[in-house]
Amino acid sequence: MSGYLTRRFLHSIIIIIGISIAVFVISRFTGDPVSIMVGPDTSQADRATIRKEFGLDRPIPVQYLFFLKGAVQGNFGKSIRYEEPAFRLVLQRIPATSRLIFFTLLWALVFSIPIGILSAIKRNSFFDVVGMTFTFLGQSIPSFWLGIMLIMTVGVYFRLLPISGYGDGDIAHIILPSLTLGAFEMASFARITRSSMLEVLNMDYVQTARAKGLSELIVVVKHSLRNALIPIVTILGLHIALLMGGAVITEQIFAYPGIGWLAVQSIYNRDFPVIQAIVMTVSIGIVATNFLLDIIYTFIDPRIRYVREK
Amino acid sequence: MRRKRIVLGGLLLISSLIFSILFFGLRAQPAECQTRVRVAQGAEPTRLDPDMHRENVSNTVILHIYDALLERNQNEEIRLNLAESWRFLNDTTLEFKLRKGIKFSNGEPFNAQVVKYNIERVAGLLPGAKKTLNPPGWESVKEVKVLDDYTVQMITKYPNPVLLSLCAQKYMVPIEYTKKDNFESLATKPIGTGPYVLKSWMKGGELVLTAKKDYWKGAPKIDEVIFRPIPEDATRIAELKVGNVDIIANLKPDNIKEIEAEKNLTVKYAPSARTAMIFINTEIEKMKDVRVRKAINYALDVPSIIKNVMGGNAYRVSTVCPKNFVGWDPQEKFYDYNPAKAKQLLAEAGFPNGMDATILTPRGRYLNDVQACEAIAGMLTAAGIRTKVNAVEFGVFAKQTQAHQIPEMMYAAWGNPHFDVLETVQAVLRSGEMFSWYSNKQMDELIDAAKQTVDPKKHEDLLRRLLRLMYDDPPFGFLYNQRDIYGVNKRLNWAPRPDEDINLYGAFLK
Repeated sequence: MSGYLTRRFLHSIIIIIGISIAVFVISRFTGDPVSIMVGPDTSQADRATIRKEFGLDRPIPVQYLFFLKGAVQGNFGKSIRYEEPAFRLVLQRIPATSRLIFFTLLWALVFSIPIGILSAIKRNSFFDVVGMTFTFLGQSIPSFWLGIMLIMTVGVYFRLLPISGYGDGDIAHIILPSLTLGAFEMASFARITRSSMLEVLNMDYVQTARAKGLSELIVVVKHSLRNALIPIVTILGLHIALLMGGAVITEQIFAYPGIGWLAVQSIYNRDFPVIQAIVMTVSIGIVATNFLLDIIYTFIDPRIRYVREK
Repeated sequence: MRRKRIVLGGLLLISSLIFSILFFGLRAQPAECQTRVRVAQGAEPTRLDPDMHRENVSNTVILHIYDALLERNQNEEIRLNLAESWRFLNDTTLEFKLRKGIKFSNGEPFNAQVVKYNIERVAGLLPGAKKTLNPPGWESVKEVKVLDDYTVQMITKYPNPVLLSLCAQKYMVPIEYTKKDNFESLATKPIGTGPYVLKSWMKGGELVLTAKKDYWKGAPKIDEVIFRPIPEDATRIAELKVGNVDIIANLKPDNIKEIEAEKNLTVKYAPSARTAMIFINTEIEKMKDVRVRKAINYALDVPSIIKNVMGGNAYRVSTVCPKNFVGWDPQEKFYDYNPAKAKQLLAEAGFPNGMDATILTPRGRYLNDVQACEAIAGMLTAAGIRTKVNAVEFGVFAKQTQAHQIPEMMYAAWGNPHFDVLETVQAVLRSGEMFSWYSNKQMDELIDAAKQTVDPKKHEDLLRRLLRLMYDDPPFGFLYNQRDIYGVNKRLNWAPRPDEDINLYGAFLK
């Protein structure tokens, strides 16, 4: 197993280096950063001084090495808009976005897995039809529309929950954004759980378990669910990247001070250092999460460990 | 079978229990405080160093923390503030007598040395200090002399008629506190002599100010002011409706009825310092003829654009000078809406069959910019100037205008921090300027003369002469200045200002 994990770790490092090259090259394609930093009335002499100050007068490969060295040390330069270290700004926003993603996944798993299981067990029943209709809606409704609708109904009409902001980090402020962000995930997870459960429930070993006289609870939870969860874990890794993309819109709607909102502001203001810091931090986060999920796989399904070691 | 039902029921019960607890049990209860006011703006402040920003969102916070030597009142007239008196000793020497006994919130005294230090910083005369981001004009200062603890003189290289206006925007920062780290702390931990002090600031979240009970002009009537950035219009409106915020800025005309329908809310208006105009590119041969430019003005039904496109949220201007600006002419004349005359002028100019033209506009930068241009293009086309609208993103628009490459016409709304039309004409009319596509020697001379004249009456007379010339030889299609719209909770007694700053000193809860 350690050989497998070492290989996966090395893969992760290569991916991160690839991302750093992409981030660096793309940022250079967008034009001369100095023309973005200074006003149109800045003299050529001042521009040259700034270019030197930021190391932009060096050859591109040398600039990349400096960028990589800085990135390793968490130094992406100062934000053009805030005049603060870019990485510090990103770090300040990580707790809010992490909480948002955590609660989004929590709702998604807490609601979707029972719905998926029940729909599979009660296939073609009224519950199944209603459940699958809602999952269809969850996957179809755009998050910006759902967010505004939740604000209008839950926030303004019923006045049950805070509409926007972070408050003191209390859970009430996270419910609406995480439900908005989680609607698609809930629907996806519920559909995958259902189809996966249906497949597993028809397998011979499940029939055998039933024939042995085991209770339905044991058959469903112990024998079927464990195998049915493998596809969920797979898409969980993929969906974390999707959630980061979704957070950009959701955080903007709910004025939720996370990385997504900072990304939008930084793009509007062409705040290069912050954009680079965000892309690198998020990418590393996604690569690290997928690495962790690879480890989790080996616990859920020993065959994976066995096959890969073989 | 029975067990199965129990299991299923249990799963449902647990799910609904978690949902109920989270949904109903954890509703945030806003803390009640009679003298707390929340303001929602579209963005958050960048830095709280008053000299290192150029935007209203930051300025709205900053003006509560700091004081300037002078200030603008609700009507934008310049009044005394930290200064007890001012006088021009000659065209290039301005003397201030300062108020005594005023202290910064960290205990440092306010005196003539502080003024010298501050003005030298923004004039680029303070050794080791970074270049600041104040509006242009401070570079005219040559020297700052301290005569005694409470008397200071500013000596300029040439007469500067907007020097007083600059002094009304230059907030004073303390010496010792800023010397320690070359102004670094000021960005996030501001220290001023103003009516409020910063209590907390969570980036992306709430910025909380608390009232200074011993403020030298008297304690503020609102104990706590909270600024929140809410970028989404619909969310800002929703927060106002539920009472979580008391003022929202940048309300769109389409949302006015929605706010007015709420019994606890009202809509407030202020004329903006932003004047919309059609820049005519006289560097293109066919636009050089004054008859073509007059035809453009006769073709425009400006009151109709204000009513139907701007929803009534604009005030017509005869040229480029709104009523509350220095230079406004009480005897101003407006072009009539007369498409027949426009056609006749075009024919006289050698275009009996009309002409083709394009109008460039940014998309979404100014209030209803593209819609206004569509209406303008329709009116011009009806009068014989077949106009196409080229609406582009602001980045593209800025790049084209800065490269001095525009088609026959361009729509833009020009801001003016000094409420003096000189600022506008210097930038958009003076020959050779980046945003000027027009050249007129007589007008240039008047601009240069006004720039050198600090005597208010003579200064204003020169500008009025200029505006009359401009009316006769129009370099622009004359339009309107915008109206800023705010949604406000009726419990708050507060009035908006033309400079877009939201000032809560003096406001109170009913």
